[in-house]
Amino acid sequence: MKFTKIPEDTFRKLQLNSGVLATTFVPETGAFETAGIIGATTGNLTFSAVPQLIDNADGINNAPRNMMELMDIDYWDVNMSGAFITVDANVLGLLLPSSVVNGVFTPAGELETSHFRELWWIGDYSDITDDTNGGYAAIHMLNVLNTGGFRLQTADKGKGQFAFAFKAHYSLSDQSKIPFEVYLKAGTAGT
Amino acid sequence: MTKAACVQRFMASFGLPAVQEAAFPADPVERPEFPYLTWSASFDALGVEVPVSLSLWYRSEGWVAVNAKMAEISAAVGRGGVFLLCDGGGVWIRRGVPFAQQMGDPDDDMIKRMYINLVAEYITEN
Repeated sequence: MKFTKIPEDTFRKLQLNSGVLATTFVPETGAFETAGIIGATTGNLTFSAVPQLIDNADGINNAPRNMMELMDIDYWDVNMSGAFITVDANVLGLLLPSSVVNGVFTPAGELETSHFRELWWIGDYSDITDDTNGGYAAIHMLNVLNTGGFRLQTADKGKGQFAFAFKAHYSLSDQSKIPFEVYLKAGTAGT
Repeated sequence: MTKAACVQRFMASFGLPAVQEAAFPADPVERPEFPYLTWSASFDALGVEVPVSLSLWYRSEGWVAVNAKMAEISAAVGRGGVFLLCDGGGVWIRRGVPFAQQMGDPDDDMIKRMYINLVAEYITEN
């Protein structure tokens, strides 16, 4: 059939597996340390960045809606959801805005800028995925706060899951900075 | 390289004679000496996950050597699988469930067989 086909380079353009959540990543070099992985996750990781649009045609007589020249972006709503199956002080600090004294996490009654963190998702990409020259897809989220609340779900004869709903935020210090970036780099043949 | 040749090349990369089960000699004289590897695979196209299996055949007192080879294959496949190029695209080979299972031989208690489950997705149009 003429139109039941896939691009010839499909195998070079796939993002494979769940990827990892990390606090640091160097997209220029692809440098990554497994020690930087925040925690093991389970199930799907879901990222969304939805532009909240303003239709300036609203209220204008005779103006059709969704006219591109009159559309503006108000802000980007940026979210990453999933669940950790490992937990330590770092993960808890990310899931629960809190103060920590002697291992006791006391939830914060007021938010501080220190509760907002930097977050990377990095996943394998392309047909070359080795440690040296492997390709990657990466998403950099700024000023992330877990807006889903602290959640724990246990299971009989299973592993506890800590669900999260991270939301990226703008900052007064740079109000035009969109709080996410996407990186895509194909793997390169080894040298 | 055809899909079958790609899988054969992968199976032969572990330092053992690798023979497709469908082509395993019926005549014992023609069979490879222990240890060796036999494999079986299904073939399909993009969007379909198919089973691939291999068996490690050792003749020894214990399981040390066959366990070590199984660990080598486990490390090679890793958590995310391996991606191999073939005609029309590539083959993504991943761990199956369970990954490995010890088996014996009812006629010879010296034969140690390790059955390994993999899955493959052929990133090809056909």
